[in-house]
Amino acid sequence: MENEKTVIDWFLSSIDSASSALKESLKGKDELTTKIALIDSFFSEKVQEDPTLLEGGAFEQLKNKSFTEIKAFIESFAPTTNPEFVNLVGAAHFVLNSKTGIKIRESQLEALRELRDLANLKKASLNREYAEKEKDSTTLSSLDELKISLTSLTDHGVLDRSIIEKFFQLLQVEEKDKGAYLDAVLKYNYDQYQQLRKSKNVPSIMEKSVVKSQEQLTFEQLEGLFYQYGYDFSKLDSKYIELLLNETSSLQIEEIFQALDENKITCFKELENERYADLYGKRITNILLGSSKEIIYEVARRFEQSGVSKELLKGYVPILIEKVHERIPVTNKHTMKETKPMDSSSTNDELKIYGKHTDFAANLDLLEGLGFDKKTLLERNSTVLMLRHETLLKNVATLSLYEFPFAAKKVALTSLLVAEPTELIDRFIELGEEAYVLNNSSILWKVTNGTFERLYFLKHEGYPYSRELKGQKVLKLYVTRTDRPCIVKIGKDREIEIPDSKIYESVPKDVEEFLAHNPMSQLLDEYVPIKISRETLEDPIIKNLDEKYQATSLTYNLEGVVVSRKKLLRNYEFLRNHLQDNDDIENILMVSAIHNSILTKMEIDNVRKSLSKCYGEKGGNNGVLKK
Amino acid sequence: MEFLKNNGFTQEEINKIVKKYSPEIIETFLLNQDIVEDVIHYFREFGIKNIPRLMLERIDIFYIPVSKIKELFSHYEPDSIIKILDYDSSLFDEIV
Repeated sequence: MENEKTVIDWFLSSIDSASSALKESLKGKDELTTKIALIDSFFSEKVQEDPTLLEGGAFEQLKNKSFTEIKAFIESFAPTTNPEFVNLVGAAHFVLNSKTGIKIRESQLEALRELRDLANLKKASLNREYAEKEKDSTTLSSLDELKISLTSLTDHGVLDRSIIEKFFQLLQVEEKDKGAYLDAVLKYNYDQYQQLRKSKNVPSIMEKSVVKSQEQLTFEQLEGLFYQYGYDFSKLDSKYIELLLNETSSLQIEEIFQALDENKITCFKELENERYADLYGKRITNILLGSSKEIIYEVARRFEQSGVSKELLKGYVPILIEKVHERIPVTNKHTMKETKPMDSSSTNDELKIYGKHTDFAANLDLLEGLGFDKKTLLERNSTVLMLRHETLLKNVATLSLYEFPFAAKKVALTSLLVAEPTELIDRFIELGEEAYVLNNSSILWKVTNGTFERLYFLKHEGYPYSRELKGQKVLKLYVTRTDRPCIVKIGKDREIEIPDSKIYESVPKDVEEFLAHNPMSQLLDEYVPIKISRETLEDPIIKNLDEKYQATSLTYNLEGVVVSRKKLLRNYEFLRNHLQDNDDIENILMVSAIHNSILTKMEIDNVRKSLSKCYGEKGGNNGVLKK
Repeated sequence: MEFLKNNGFTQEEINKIVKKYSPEIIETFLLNQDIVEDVIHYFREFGIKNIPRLMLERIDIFYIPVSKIKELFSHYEPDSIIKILDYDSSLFDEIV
């Protein structure tokens, strides 16, 4: 097959060949008719009606003809009839059935019976042969009709499924050969369909697509659909083909491909580099198994309304699907184990990715409601949009709790990616950088191991740790870039390197020692609470604390020690709800205040003294907390 | 994450990235491997030096298609962008 244009000619040529062969085989049909009629005449009732036909000549001739001669005559069935022999056989039949009482020898009687049986067998054989001819005749008629169907296709007509099936049936095409026909047909149909769409003249015949079926999806159908809609089937790995054949239907696939086409989403058709063939297969399989027409339309609408190119959807596959099929290999689990040791409690669930459509839609709405620009979100922040909605909600709630300026649109989206921001925020606050962290939320994303130790050291030793950039305070790079040596500029020309070992030696570890083996502290190690209820704010001890020591809405100043107020409140609320029998208020308050802080022994003591003034007689409960 | 090794990342650098980000973010990252590699190649050609560090700090940048990044960078002198990104990745939001 050379090209799509001669597909019809190819089919017509095959039909013509088959028709010629059938016509040839039908040539002997008339002869059969004659032979069968001849046998029928053997058993004619004429002889019975006119026994004179037998008298004299016929019967006498029968007696004179040998059995062998008559048998040979029946078997040969020469085209021309021999009246003499016809009569003889008729006579034989008459004799066998007759009640004339004609007496013949037993041997002759036996011979006559054998002749009759032979004639019957021959007639049956002829009848079968005739039936075959009749079938061929019917096939020939059907081929003529099929030819008419093909030659009457209009300019944009597609080859309908029923035509293809009829062709396969009439020409008895073997299974192994059907693929080549289908391939040519579907490429032809795709071209016809594209031309038809361009001319916007899509007739109802399009509803009868070549592979539209509710039956079990076959390999040929799947391949056909991929080619029909312009997707490269040859790049699809067998594991994805198997999944699609077993888990979906041609209707579903066609619906999704149509939805992608109608919304002009073409980015998934492209495979620019053979190295990404598996990714290509994974993406398209995910979409076919997990998406729907409704999701595709909705996502496309959001992108269009925001003025964002739908080509970016290539990086947003999860938002087009509701749930990734469990059998689709999403990660190389061996790779994950190499790079991130999994403890015994980890399960395969941690390696699964979930369809993100619901999360995406909810996240986009949430962030737009917070004042973020939708276009920027879609063009540059797919990571945030594809967080689990609960995660994003929690992170937003956390930053809101700490009064980050969402209203002023000064919150960096990257800060919403940080898994547990509370500890980082508390540290910045307690190191005197409350204003800095609120106005530079992106710093939360940059904190690494050693950042707070360096910041603590530099501040306490009086070394420069920040600079001005465009009127804003910016931390020196050596504070966050803990992968580099801490080289500090002293004055104009002098630089000194401060080894990390010296920094770590200088940072006090007294809080860890103080809270070691403290069950309340261990609770906070395992769980980070963020809730602060009105009940907690109305707590007499807290009200006392606020009255005496609140410096800002985010800080207490406890005898010169800055403590994160939100940290204390949320920890206090959590620990109150987990009171054990021997717990007391002093312990709970202390743990709430200093957990995760960097303090010296003297500072810890100052905190304790301050807190003790907030409970006891003036605290209202005489040091006893009630559950 | 093996594809990062093919792009000049050491195992230690890969470990840091996987340790920093949640499995959720890593999964999405892997699903966009081709986009990520395009960005790595572009940054390398552009002259940005410490790409692993940039990824450790701003993995989100690596999801942005190269065509969009080119559009964002087109308003600045290349040397300025290189200096800024090599110096402080948080300034990415400032320059674009």
